[in-house]
Amino acid sequence: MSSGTEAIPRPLAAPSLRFAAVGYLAAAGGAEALLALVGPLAAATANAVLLLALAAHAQLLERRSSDASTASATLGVLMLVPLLRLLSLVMPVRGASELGWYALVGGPLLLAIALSARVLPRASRTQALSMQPSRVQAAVALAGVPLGLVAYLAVRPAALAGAGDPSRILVGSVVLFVFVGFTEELLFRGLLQHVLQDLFGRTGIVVAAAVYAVSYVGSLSAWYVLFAAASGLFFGWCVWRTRGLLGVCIAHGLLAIGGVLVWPLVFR
Amino acid sequence: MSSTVTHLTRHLVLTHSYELLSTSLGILAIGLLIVLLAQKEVTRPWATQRSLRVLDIAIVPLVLAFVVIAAVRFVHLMR
Repeated sequence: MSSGTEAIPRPLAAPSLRFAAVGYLAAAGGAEALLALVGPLAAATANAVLLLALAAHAQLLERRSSDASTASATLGVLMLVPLLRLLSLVMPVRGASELGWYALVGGPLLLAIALSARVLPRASRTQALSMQPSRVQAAVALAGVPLGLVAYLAVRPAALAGAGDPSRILVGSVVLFVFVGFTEELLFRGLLQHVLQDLFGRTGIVVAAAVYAVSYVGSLSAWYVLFAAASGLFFGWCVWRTRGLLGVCIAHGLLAIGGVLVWPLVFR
Repeated sequence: MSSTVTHLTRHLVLTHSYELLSTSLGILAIGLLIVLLAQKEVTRPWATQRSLRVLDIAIVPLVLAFVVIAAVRFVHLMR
């Protein structure tokens, strides 16, 4: 059978699992629409129900499926999508600074990503989360600087309180780098794109970018959702071509730092 | 700039009272945690180690959320 080399395409998962994954991702998109159109409680309830359905389905597959390890791990990764939204609605508290919110949401999410990676088969995990440095990865990382400027021009967010303070810029950069850049890329391009490529082949890159773009509906900016879709496709293509995540993690970190901390100060 | 802290998140925290958020979203998160913990215990006799680990993906972050919700509630009561 397969020699396990990277050049050989991975076999697609069972059609029933593909069908279920489409249903779950459509439901996650519906929950995002509820957030924008109805309110946070409706969206949080929908995401909680989706999370329970995914957890129950994963456990049932473990009992029934002949290829239980891949199937339940796939659903485990899909659980991260509703979990992201639930944490983003529950964790931010008024007393904490906005940078603190990123850490409050990103910390538990990063933990969930690590737990999710643990249920993937070892070879799959190594492939999905490869962080080998190279010149190509450095070039991909630098793309984050112009992308940050485009992102800023799309939504023009106000500068954070005390953003001119150098120590705040330093702490903010670390927070955004870890809890936005690395966390979101490990989730969307690392684990999610990997399992979606197992399900749908190269179309999985487009599906992962679509899920990423829909998760930005809360920005209430059509331009930013379009930008997220385009940057998601670009990052996904880079990961597929280079088989490495390091470049896009750094690029996304630089994008967030530019958009939140640097460009608002430059253009104020 | 992030899918975790969006314009809607900011709007939610800054325009709704703590009581409203705590008694709606907070209780929902804690309820979800209780259901998942119950599911883990109920299925433990026949579940494989990996299927229990799948539940941990949601349980562990929700335990952290519970700690934050309880801590903020405690601080609020002390004021």
